[in-house]
Amino acid sequence: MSINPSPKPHATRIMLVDDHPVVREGLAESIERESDLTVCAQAEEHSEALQMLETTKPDLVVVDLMLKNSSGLELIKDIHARWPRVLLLVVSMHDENLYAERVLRAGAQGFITKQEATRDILLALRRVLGGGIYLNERTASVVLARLTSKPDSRSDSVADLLADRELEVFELTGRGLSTREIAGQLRIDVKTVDTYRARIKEKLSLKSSSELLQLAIRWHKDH
Amino acid sequence: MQKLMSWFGHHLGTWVAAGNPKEEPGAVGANPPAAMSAKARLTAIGFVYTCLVGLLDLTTTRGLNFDLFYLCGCAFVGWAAGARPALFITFTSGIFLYFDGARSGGFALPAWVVYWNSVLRLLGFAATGWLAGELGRSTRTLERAVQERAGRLRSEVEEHKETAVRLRETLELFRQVTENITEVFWVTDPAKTRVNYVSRGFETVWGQPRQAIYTSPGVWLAAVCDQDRERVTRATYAKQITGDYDEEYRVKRPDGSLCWVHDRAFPVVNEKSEVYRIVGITEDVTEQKRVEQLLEAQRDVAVALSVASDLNAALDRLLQAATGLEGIDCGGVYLLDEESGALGLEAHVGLSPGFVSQVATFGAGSREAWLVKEGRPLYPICAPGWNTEDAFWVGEGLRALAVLPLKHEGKVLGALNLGSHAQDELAVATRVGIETIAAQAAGAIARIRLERQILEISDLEQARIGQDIHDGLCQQLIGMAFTANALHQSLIAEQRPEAAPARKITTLLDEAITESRRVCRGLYPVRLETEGLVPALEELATTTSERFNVQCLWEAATRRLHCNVTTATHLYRIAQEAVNNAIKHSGGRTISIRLRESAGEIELEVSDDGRGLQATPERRAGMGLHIMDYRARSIGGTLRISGNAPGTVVLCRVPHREVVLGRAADSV
Repeated sequence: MSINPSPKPHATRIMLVDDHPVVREGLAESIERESDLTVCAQAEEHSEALQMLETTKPDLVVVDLMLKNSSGLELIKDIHARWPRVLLLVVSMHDENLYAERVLRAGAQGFITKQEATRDILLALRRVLGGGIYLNERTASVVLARLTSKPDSRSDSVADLLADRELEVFELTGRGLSTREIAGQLRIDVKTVDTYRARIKEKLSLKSSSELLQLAIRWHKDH
Repeated sequence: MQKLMSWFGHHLGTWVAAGNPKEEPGAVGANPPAAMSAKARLTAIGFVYTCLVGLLDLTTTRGLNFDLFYLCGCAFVGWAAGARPALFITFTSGIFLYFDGARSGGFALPAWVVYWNSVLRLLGFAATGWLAGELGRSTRTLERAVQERAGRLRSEVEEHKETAVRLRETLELFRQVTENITEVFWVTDPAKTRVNYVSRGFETVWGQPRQAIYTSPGVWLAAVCDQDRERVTRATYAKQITGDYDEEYRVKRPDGSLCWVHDRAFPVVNEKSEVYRIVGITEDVTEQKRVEQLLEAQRDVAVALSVASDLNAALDRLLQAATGLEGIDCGGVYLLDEESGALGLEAHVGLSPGFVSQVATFGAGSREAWLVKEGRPLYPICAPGWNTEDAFWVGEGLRALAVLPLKHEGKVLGALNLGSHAQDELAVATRVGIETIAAQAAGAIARIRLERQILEISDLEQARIGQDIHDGLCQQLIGMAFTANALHQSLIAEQRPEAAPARKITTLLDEAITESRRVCRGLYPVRLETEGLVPALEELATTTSERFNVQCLWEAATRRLHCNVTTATHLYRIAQEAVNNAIKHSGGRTISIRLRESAGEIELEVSDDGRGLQATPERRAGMGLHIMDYRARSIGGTLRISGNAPGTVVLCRVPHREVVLGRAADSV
């Protein structure tokens, strides 16, 4: 949305992607106060962000997980795919531990809640810029615990990972119903089904819709 | 001289007549003057005759003997009038004999021989007269006795004839009654081995000829339906003799049709007070039974629906009651989706699975949906060959069908379809009954929907507010926090005393952010939707512990519990309300939330160690409790609050309905 011509020519360039202006301003202020950091661009949503990335080429992007009309996670994946060397730090209003794991898998290097960010944003930025992974202590231990106790077979964990509605959509997909049919059965609209599908893909770490379909069919056969 | 004669004659007559007291008392009593006059007449005739003979004797020569004539006279009078008149005639004859003897004079024999001879002769006459009298009297007595006896016999025969006629008439009347009534009137011996009589109604009710039961008396019992036979047999042998027999049972006719009968029996005792006969009457009460059943079904449905808060359970009970009616063995309930206008099958019973998937939904533009929206009950003919090859009921083998739109206040909510695989047509009484049931069901469904909507609105409102706070206020505070922190940092860097209040601001802001996030989560439990009930309750526990000064423990038997969205939402809200109540009213230090699953039921328990219910009566009357209870009931469960243990325990039990796909009744 805005491009600031940088008065600090050798500072690390940081881009902010968040759909709340007040939050963006606060972040930008905190960052600008550092002499070696500068905010080079700010964007509110997916396509804008990609565009900005193209033009301003930041070193690090701070992404809000909940963007207005799109998924922050998708954006992370896209950025990571096109610019693998760009560092990513995810901020979120929610501190769901599952998200932390997912963003790391998607290619980000850190996860911090907005509330923590008010205090520790610089700490997180420095850690990531230094090449490390930023997670707060509690999240880190949860993620590690899950990592070490996760069972091998995927099919068991499906029921564990998915929420009820997501499981419904998953089962119906496995039965071979189309999106419209699923929407009709569950009395929700098509867009919601897509959202659930996207969430399922995230939770189960699936890369594409065809993978989702395959897994769903296999799961349906086994159950 | 005349007077003397008449006086003499009168007294003579009286004496003669009165001298027959031992004779014929009855006959004299009947008509004494006549009898007397008859006797007097005959005596007079005899007297005249004797006089004539005497005169003749006197006037003729002595050579002629008129003894025999005098004898005749005496005998005749004796026989006709009795002994005394005979004596009188003998006396008269004696007089004439004397005069005759005196007249002739001069006998060859001495006088004493003549007199002795005369006396003997007179005695002979008297004896004859007397004998004749006795004879006559006996004859007459005998005759009278015989006549009397004959008369009596005749009147007896007349009586008997009359009685026989009356008897025949009575029998005829009896026959007319028992042969023309539809009830079965029967008479058997106490041991039930012989049937004395069974009326024509037997052939209609049992469908078998009467001869059958006369030849084998057990025929009637064999035709009783299997379910009722044992009871009826027991009652027959035990209660009929005591007079307590009053049974209703079903009879199966040879053609397969069923008939409800009401059977009563009465023992008949003889003079020795022994039961020597059983009479009974059996009535066909099929129609009444049907009406009774319908009324019962309607009542059951009304009661069940009026207290139902759980739509699924209500629909199931509705179908149960409807298919309990005679002749209906399957059915389904469709609900009309308000937005799309499509019909969806929400509950069904007695249908084959293939058929169910075939008729599960009908689009808004389909003919079936159009028929239902018309709003009138339909009874389509299901018999093949009626140009209904493409009708929706084909393939299931239905023989009768009723499509009853569920209409409430002019709006069609869906349809209740009932069918029969066994019967070709639904009786009129049945039709009326099921239409009533459909109306009741429509009312109940409308009510449950409304209640759901009210609750949903409340939930939606909360969610909206939560999201607003989340997207607006929270972000605002965060923005402020960034700035405040920056300010704090720069004041510290400049070593200004204002750093202290700046720090305070940052701390307060941080707390405010935390608090508002918790409020958001309370209003709009995101975790419930993204992860499920168990994680959401876990977060509720942690948030409660953090936010209020209590220890909120969380215990789950299973890490993952899958139930449908509605159940999860309601359980979460119940837990939330229970926890809030515990915080507000109990004054306890520990609250625990427990989730368990056992025997197909989910159990949610929220307990605290505070004051308990009794201490705070206002807690009981709170609106929150009513809504908690309603939420529990609307998912088919129960809510129990007990304040016995130290503290309060809120226990909610709901049936664990797995994620039932396509069961959109939950989102109604």
